[in-house]
Amino acid sequence: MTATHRTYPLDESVDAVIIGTGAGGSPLLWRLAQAGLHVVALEAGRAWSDPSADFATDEVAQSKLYWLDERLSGGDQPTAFGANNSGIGVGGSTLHYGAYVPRADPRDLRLHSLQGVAVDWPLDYADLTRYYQEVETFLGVSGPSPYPWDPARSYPLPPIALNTAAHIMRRGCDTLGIKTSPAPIAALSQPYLATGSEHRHPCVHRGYCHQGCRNGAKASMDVTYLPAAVAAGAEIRPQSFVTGIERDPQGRITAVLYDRNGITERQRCNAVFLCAGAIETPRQLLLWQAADSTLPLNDAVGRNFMAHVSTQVWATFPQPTYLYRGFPSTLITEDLMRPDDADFAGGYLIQSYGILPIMWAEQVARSRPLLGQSLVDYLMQYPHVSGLGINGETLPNADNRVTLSSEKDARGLPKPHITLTLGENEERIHLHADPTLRAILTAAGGADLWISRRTAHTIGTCRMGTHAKNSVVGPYGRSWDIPNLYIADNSVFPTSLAANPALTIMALALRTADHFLQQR
Amino acid sequence: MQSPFIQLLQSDQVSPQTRRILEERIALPGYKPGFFTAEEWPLVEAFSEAVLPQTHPFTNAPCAALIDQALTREEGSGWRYAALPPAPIAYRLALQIIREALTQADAPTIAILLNQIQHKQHDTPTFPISLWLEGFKVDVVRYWLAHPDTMVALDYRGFADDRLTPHDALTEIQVIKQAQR
Repeated sequence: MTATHRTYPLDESVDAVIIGTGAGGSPLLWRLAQAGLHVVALEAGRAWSDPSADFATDEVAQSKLYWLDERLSGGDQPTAFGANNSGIGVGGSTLHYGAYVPRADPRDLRLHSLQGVAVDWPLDYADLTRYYQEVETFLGVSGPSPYPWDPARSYPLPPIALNTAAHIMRRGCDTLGIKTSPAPIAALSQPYLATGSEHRHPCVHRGYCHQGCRNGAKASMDVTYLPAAVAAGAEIRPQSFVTGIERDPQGRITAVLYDRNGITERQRCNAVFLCAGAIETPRQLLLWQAADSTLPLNDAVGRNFMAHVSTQVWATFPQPTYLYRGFPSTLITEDLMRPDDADFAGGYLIQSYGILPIMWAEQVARSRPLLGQSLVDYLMQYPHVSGLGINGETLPNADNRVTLSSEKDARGLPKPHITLTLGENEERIHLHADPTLRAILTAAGGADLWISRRTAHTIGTCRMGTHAKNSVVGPYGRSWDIPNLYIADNSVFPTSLAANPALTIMALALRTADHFLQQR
Repeated sequence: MQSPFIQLLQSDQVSPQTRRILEERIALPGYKPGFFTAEEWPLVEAFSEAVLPQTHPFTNAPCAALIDQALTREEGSGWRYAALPPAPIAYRLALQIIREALTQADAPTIAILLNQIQHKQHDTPTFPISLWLEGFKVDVVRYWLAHPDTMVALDYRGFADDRLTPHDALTEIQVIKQAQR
């Protein structure tokens, strides 16, 4: 970040404190700073000043980008955290996200109206579309124009080059008559300069995108919205872990307390935006209430945790695949969003998977019952494997939730306990996807197929809605319980959508920011 | 004459920070465990070798030492199964169960025991040791694949990206794509 970094005194009641600098907090910080507001972002992790030198091309070393404070994962289908979905550092999880950014399918926002399940989103799709367009332009999303499943849509840059996994998926899908397309990817296929942003270099296809982009081609927040926010006058305080709030007699938050390098600081403020993700956001609210029993919080806080059904199938091919090179996931099909033979609500998209050896081998270790020499022999097949996976709708279930465990972390705070038990609809999506993925890989020439039953992304837990009795925030992210608290991250999603969440998080965050500015 | 791997590692295709990390792994000195006791240590090493033998191909990744190091430093992966106790307790419990199973009168071989554990035959309501084994397998494969010996065995070149240009990578992908036809 080259801009002069403005700072604000702790005793100034700034217009807003933003907790978290991921896909939610960053666009919001920028929008508010652009409007001339005095805004401070608190980020639990550190800032990386020079990714080209700070980031090693090594899977183990780059675990420094993952949120590694321990979470307890329960329910019948415990989901993995850390590398799977949770980041830390200025830029949040976008530092290691796959930057696979399809828009939501409009039908996914109306599951209750159209299919009689779950709930509808409390907004119009058209309202999201303009924000999608804005974010895609700002980030420099590379993708096909027109987009095959939405011909009105175009992307600012041509698609990212396909890697081998994508070519394999395309070959299999072509044989089966499934339409594919290069996916919308938030990484640059060409040099790019967005209005209000800095010049960025194109992707060099090094393949370590989940380990942090070294040249700024991937649109993580640290090279897009955050430098723009700083240039507009925002302050970012790294290594600042929020530990509590103070409120006035009317219940409004007047200050945020946080631990910064072992010292408790207190930033006065007029509003708070909680953007810490679907686990830490409800955890913060529950911690605040644990410290102050008079804090009003409705029962929906922490409930309806969702993670995408993310079944993957892997196969071995005669020729080398070299999955470590190229952008990891570059092909998509949305043909299965509402398949004719569906016996489930919602649907799923399929994406090709390039993958690095350790991330792949960890799935092998969890999913294949191989031990001893047979495990070694199979892992030695890494140069010849390729895979496919889905993002499938997971319906909300109030019993899937984040609570505080009795176990304490290094800060002395209760660790979060998360439960996830998938229902019949998720099982049906999985049972539809499994043979579909196998057929594609077999048609492409793959053998020795195996399945990894996994879940991905963290969604829900502070859902938005139209009534306080069954939601945590209103249609624009404003808390029903605390008048100057807003939430802008994946926790507000009422349903999971099949689309990867990052783009929708950013779009919603800008929408929340605009609403806040209009209300002032 | 240096091996092709060392030549690549020392070339300008590898960033200094990546080279430093890989060289440190090659040069791991004799290791003295900090978490495991003298009694537990040989068992952990044997169990690691049983899960993933390093003879064919020959590799020399100190998986047990790196697991010990992580436990000593209280490093984790950001989550654990709620059904398991914290990692230090889970490891001690698992090793106790394994030791008892291997020293009983009609003891199974370590390979058979591993298989039994994986198939939940030693799970109890309070300690599902099969879930612990899953995590142990994950740790072992991670440290094995992170080691330069294994990269040599796989002819792995992913770490060499420092001077990569879009043209280089696309040429490489084109070659692969043609090979796929």
